[in-house]
Amino acid sequence: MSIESLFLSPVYLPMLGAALILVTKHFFTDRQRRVVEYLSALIAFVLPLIAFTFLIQPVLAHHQVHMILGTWETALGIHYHFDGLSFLLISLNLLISIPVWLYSRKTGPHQETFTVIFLIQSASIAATSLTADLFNLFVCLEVMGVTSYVLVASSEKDEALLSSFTYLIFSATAMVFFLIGTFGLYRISGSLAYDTIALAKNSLSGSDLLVARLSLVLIVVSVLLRTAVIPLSGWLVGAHSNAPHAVSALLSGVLIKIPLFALVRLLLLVTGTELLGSILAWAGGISTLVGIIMALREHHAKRLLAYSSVSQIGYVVAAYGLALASGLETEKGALLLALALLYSFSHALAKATLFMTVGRATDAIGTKNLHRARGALSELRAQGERFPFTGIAYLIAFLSISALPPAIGFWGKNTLVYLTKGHGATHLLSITSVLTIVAYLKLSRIFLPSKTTGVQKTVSSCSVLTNLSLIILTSLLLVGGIWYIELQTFVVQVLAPLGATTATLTSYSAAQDLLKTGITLSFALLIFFIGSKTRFEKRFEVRKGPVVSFPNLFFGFALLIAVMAWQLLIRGGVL
Amino acid sequence: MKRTLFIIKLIFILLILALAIFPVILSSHSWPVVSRDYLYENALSDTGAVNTVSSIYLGYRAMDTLGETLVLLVSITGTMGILINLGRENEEEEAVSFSLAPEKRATNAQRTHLLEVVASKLGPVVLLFGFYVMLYGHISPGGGFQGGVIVASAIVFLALGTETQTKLTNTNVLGRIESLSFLVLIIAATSGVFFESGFFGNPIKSGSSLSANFIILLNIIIGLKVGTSIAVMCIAMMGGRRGH
Repeated sequence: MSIESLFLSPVYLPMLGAALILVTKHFFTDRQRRVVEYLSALIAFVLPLIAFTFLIQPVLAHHQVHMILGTWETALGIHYHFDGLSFLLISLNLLISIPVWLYSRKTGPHQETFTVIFLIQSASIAATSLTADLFNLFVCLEVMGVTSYVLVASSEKDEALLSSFTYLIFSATAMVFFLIGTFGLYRISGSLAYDTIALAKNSLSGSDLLVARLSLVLIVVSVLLRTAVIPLSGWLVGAHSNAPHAVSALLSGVLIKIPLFALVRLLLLVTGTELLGSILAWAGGISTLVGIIMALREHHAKRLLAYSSVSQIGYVVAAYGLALASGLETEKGALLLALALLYSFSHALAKATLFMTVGRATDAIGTKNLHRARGALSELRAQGERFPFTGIAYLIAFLSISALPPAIGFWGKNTLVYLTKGHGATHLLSITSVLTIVAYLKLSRIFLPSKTTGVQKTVSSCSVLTNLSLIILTSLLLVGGIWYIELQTFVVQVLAPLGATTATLTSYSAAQDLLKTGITLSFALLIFFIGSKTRFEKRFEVRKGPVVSFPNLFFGFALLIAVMAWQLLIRGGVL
Repeated sequence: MKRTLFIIKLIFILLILALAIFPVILSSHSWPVVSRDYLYENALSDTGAVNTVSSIYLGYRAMDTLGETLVLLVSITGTMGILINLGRENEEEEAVSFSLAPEKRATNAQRTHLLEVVASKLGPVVLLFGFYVMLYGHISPGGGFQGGVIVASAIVFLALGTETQTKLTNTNVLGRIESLSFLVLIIAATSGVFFESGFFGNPIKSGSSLSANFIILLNIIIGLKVGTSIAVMCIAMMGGRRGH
């Protein structure tokens, strides 16, 4: 097997699996279809994972492959680029998708076509990570988007349909602007491949430069919509909180991060991204704070988690922006990009676990209201969970997302905050880490013992596969925490060909941060107890669910375009 | 107050978006010629397709086409899911105005003899035209997507026009054709990986007198896929058999 067929396997194998399921659905019985579903999942997830273990060696040796799909010898074809970045992104997707799919077997949407769409989404994620062609990026984002609308709508609740529709209209409109941006860049460069665009932009001046900058702004903002930074995050809360638990886990864990990192390839070629990076860092910083405040004001378990995703993606975007601001060729920029990726990995694991465990717990209790939901552990035991997998998995994920040792999040967040020092947005990150703990303490109350004993008996949601998926995620969280330094070295080394040196974070010491974490934790506990014992909490909370209106969504979209365009055009900087 | 705010927002949105896209659209930069010249000289010999458009979307950039096929597949699957749910909820409610023959009721005032006669006579002709567009996509304007949509409309005509259900309007049969053609499409796309011509490379390039063979194959598969899936969706929307 050539290296091309190995790294393309996460693209074509899931599609093959999806086709197999569709065929068996129409030709064979239900029972046979179910067998084929497992077989297809094996083909789609496990085989690429095995293929990727063969790729670790080439990636560590900084081996890059630039290829054109098919055998065309022209720039007209579609360029794919395999390097450390795509390796890491696809591995992230595979590692999260496998437990999510296992979890969905028992709890998730039971439609016959769920696995088909799930597999196609996985293929589109892999293609997005690999592509080095602007129009192909558009197509991949479209496939990714359309699968997520359908997955959200598969919840069969009316609210889910509405959220899915909101997301569909908002992101489909944004994709039109992406397409206009693509048109602009093609017009001035005559090519859709990133490297040819980068070559062409060197000989630009006057109005052509303006066109190039505006096109880039349109593309970046449309992609940021998928990442859901404030002010573009209005669609996320409804979509992620109303989707089935497994889908929420995947959307919050993987889907909001891939487009952001796929953009790196394009931005890498654009010299002088300081200003753009700085704007992104601020957007990220503001997202962290606003997201967590909105989460604190929520009394609906899954909406709290969804707002927290906005807050957590803010960390990633802030680090990513600062990496661009310092330039990826510098040591600091390279490290920041690696940390942004690592943090998204740690958040993906933690948030997927949280959505799954909280989903199971609230299903067992029968309510998602944080004031009424209590005694999740005893309810789960009543449903046949002998060993408290759900509780333990929740605890580990809670530790990770609140940046407490020993889980991966502790290292991820602290190294990230350590490196972003010196930028104004860092202070926002520090405040957020206190509030994050408060928000998750609030959520944890569903596991407190209940005063009234529930009488309702629902069907058992326990199964070997669900427990297995929780075990996989939990052990990844712990393993990542224990071998974090090694993991970080690996990621930095793998990402090195993106233009940076093989820098390591030597000046950072975790012992110092343990003290800081202690202070943060005590602050958080203080706020939490003041909040929960007094009336303050009730008064602070919003009564109604979020009202999402299209004028507000598009206002956010236009606002970000205006800010970016003004900064880049008037103050100059990019390209 | 609320209304004023709404209008201000709306004006802001339109103004910013217009300011952002007009310079891009109205750019006076000369049109790029590299790709055009390349296609003019090499498209025919590279892919064997006289129609340059099909040499782009089924040749050089076939992956994009596969992506668009996936978009169609997923959106139709999603639509069918929602339709089935709605059908489950509104089982007792009044049937939609255009109903299929087995469900024909007295209330279907819009389903007249005129419609039936015209639709049933048009159906086969449109079907033939659909296959023509599909099969000659490499020579003349058309291709899998366009031909497929025409085939779908022909099937809808047949479904509206005939009293008894035929094989062609049976959603189970259509679903089988759809899933098989999707499988063949994926196999055609991936087979290049194992024949040393790369992902979406032409595995049957050599050893054939018909130079555009791969494009014709893809056109047929995509046409069948598009035609049957859209037909299934339309029949479901008309309240036809929910065999899905």
